[in-house]
Amino acid sequence: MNAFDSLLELLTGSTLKPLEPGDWAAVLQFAERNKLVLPLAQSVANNEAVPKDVRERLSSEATRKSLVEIHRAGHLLELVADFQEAGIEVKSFKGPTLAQLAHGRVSARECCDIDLLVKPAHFDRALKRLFAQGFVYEMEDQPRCYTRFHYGVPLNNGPRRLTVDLHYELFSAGVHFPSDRIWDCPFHVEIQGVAVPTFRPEHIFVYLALHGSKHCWRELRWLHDLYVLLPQVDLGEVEAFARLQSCERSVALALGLLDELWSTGYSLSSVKADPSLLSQSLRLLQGARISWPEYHSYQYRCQSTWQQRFRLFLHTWFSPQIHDLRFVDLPPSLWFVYYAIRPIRVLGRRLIPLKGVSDD
Amino acid sequence: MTERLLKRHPEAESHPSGERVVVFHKSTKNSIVLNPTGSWLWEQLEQPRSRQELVDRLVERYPDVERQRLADDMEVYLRELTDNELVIS
Repeated sequence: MNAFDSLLELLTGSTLKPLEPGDWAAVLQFAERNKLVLPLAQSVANNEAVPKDVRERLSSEATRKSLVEIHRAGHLLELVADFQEAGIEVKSFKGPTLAQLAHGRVSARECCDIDLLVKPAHFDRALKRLFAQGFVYEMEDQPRCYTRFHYGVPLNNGPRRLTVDLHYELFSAGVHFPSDRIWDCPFHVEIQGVAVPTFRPEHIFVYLALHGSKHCWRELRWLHDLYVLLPQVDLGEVEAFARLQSCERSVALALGLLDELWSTGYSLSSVKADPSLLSQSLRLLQGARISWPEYHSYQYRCQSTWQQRFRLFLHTWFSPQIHDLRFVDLPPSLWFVYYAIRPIRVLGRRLIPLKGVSDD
Repeated sequence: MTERLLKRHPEAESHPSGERVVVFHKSTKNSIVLNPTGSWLWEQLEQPRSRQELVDRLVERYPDVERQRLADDMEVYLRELTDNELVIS
């Protein structure tokens, strides 16, 4: 049994076949890489089949991570209160809010940052509030026009050891996922006694399915979130929202993966998971690497309509990304030129790959 | 005279972390980490209990340890919890 299968068994509390000490190291490493130490520590806490030293190590690591998440949640509450005081409409999603919503407590899920969605009209004001609190752009050499072409921006607060991803949309222009319907449905989750505005569970489920396929399901944690969230959602509503947002294929894929890994037995009534996407995603979840052409082929196959594929094609080839914007610093009146720089750079990068430069 | 019952503060929030529990106070923002024995004690306080009852339960759990020693250890945990306003009577 490999580390991936063992971790799946442990997370569900199934009886585990005995493992060698070396196998345990691999399981712990896989859990750490997939940010699943917190749920793993919890599920093995009273499992006698797990060696005492492994449980102790997990417990000690989980305690440290729990404290970090509890404090991160405190920062989230301060930020939301500050935005609300300034009349900025905000919704928190992923991060501590997802931990509370799906897992029942903020310390049950390891997060990297705080994701906040504000209305596009409030974005600049929200940015100013964060600057006033000591946040700075995460990318030191962030191009001036970055937020013109990107749907949000990461900001850091060094003394608070905090990263905030401030969004005005949920996905880039290449993915059709309007947030209007999410704004139209008020929903709150209670964190440390405070009501935090967030998405309805069915909406976050669909969002997470799309987010997972956007990142080719490279982290098991994302699927585990859906597994934990599944009993709390109305699948009929999930399907209706997926249809409304035209992302049934991604939701079908997520449900297919859940069924493959945890035998959940759920699927959409209208669309079934693409078998080739399913098997590729399973390999990616286990750590397989993906090449540039495979990545794009995967993304096209996740789209539900030809219009979406065409939109993604335009985005891939013409929508400027960070490296295109860094390539040359243009004045605002010439920002449209970036649309021409993008295809030249993409072609150039494919034809003459540069060592040490990451893919867009 | 009846002994006063100890109970968790309504503002105290439990965060189980493996074999330990992190207890967080929503108003004071204090948090403390309980070791496995402290976590067990915290678990017992899910319902209000008297000191006597808690010691009886500890004796049941550790029959080989002297009752007075268990009672003394328990007092140390309880003091930490009450000092942080996580347990009230």
